[in-house]
Amino acid sequence: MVELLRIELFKIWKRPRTYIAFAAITAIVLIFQFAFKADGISYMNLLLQNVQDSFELNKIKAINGYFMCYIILNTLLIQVPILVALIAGDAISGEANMGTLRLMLTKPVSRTEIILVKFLASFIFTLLLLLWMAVTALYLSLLIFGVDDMLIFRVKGDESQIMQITKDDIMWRYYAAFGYAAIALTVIAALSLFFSVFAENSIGPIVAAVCIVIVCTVISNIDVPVIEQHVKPYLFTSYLVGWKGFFYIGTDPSNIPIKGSIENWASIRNSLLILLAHIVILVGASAWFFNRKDILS
Amino acid sequence: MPAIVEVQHLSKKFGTFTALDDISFSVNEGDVYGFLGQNGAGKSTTIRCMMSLIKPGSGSIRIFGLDLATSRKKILSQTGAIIERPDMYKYLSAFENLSIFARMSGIKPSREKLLQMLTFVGLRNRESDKVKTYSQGMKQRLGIAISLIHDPRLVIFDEPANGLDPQGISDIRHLILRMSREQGKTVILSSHLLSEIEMMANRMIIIDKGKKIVEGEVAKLLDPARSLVKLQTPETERAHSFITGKGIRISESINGEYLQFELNRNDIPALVGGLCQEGIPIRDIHAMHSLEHYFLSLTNPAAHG
Repeated sequence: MVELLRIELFKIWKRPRTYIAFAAITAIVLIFQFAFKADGISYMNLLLQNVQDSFELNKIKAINGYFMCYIILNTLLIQVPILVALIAGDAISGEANMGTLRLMLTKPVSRTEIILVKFLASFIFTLLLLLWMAVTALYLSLLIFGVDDMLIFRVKGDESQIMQITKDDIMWRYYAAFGYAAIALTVIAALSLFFSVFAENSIGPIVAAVCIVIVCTVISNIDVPVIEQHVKPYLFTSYLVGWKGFFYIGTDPSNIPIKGSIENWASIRNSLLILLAHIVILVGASAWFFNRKDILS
Repeated sequence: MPAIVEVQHLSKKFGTFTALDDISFSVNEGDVYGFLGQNGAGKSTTIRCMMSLIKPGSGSIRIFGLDLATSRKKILSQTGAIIERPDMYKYLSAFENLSIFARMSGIKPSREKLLQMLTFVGLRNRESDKVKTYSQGMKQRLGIAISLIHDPRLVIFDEPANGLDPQGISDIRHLILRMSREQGKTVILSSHLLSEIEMMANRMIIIDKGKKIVEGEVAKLLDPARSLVKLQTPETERAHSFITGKGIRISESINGEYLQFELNRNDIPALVGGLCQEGIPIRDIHAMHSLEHYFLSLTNPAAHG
């Protein structure tokens, strides 16, 4: 199995399309950084227009590396599923399309092993994609914009909140957020892999996975009670942005932030468990269907 | 020689279409076994069942004495195959492709062993080129290298000459014969061309519409004594009485211009000599195996019915 995984990773890194994802992330991050370096104040004015009179804020200090990374992740983590689907959706269907699936299955490896290896390779690809995001969006931003306390803008119910996280309490939150994002994106990889089992070209599974993510995300954003109570809990997309929870600081009874705390750890833990359950079910279903499939390509 | 492959009562349906209907055959160790049938006869479906790409509807497949349903990995570790086109990773080189599939076969060959195999199939100086730059013939040869790299006992080639030019076909034939003679491999070879099977196989099966038509030794099935002669002459009546006078039964008279009869190939020159002596003009004479005639009648019933 380790040898199979090595082969799979070798194949992924030899394909030019693999690097599209890394190039896309780099381009988006650099554009963000350039825009904020050139005119970040205008963005802050827009963001703070409703609360400007309430308190004094050094906007230049507020646009620091940590803040930049948060802004970039907010945007990018919605687009990255497409990049993950690009690789995972091609896993089986791409082999069928190339004709290599039948050659592969004449070798002494089980179909379950192939599914597991394809899934693990997609997972590793997702991890590396997030690592690259960390390097460009976090470390490069820290280098360009410097280190300072981070402001988080949050809409909670009907009210807007601004929270401040001290600079010595941020880095671990980012590591945890990237870890959470890895699990969330792996659900997309597992979903794309599942569709990939049924198709004989890559376009179908990639489009199907992306469409499901888009539709479910739209539904997840409908703030109607009946959807909130009866639909959202069952949509995996409701949990994709759960990484933000690591930046919501817990407070004591007198509403003073507690350094190193998280507002609602139980919610994050439950979201993680739900995402993991999705992964297990989707990978299991992929193996089940793949084992029963006649290879006619 | 013991049977290395035993297929018993194999059937497979796709929806309402019956692709295989109760096929049974066996392949002995060391055979070059021909699998003959027109396109769509069920050759590829049978081979795909043997490589566990397709699950049979019913029947059993035993290879090396093991049941394919329960010992798939063991069987495939000693089997090499090219199913239809030999498709590889086009963005990788021949060397990388060969290395990948060797490792998937459970072996870790040295660089020398890989290059040795590429030399065997005549790709030694192109091993670093990406497969997307290869001709169909070169891909076919790389496919053979991939099917042989783990030194299998049984090698299966499904239509290996498909899409090749005459030189490519000749190269592949030589490679298959070399692997049989020099390496003692058991080879199963499918084709829709009788001539190809005749040139390479020692035993064969013909299937049509998913059913077995005949199985046996090529030498016996293509016995010269069973040649079918088609004679074209403007004087069919005189030729008819001359030939029947020699005790030969005319099986068919076509358009008052052709006569068809069975004759030992070795007796044809004497018959032609006799017809000439009688002053019966011969426009054309053509002899083919009766099996060939039968096979052609399957593939083109209008012309050979």
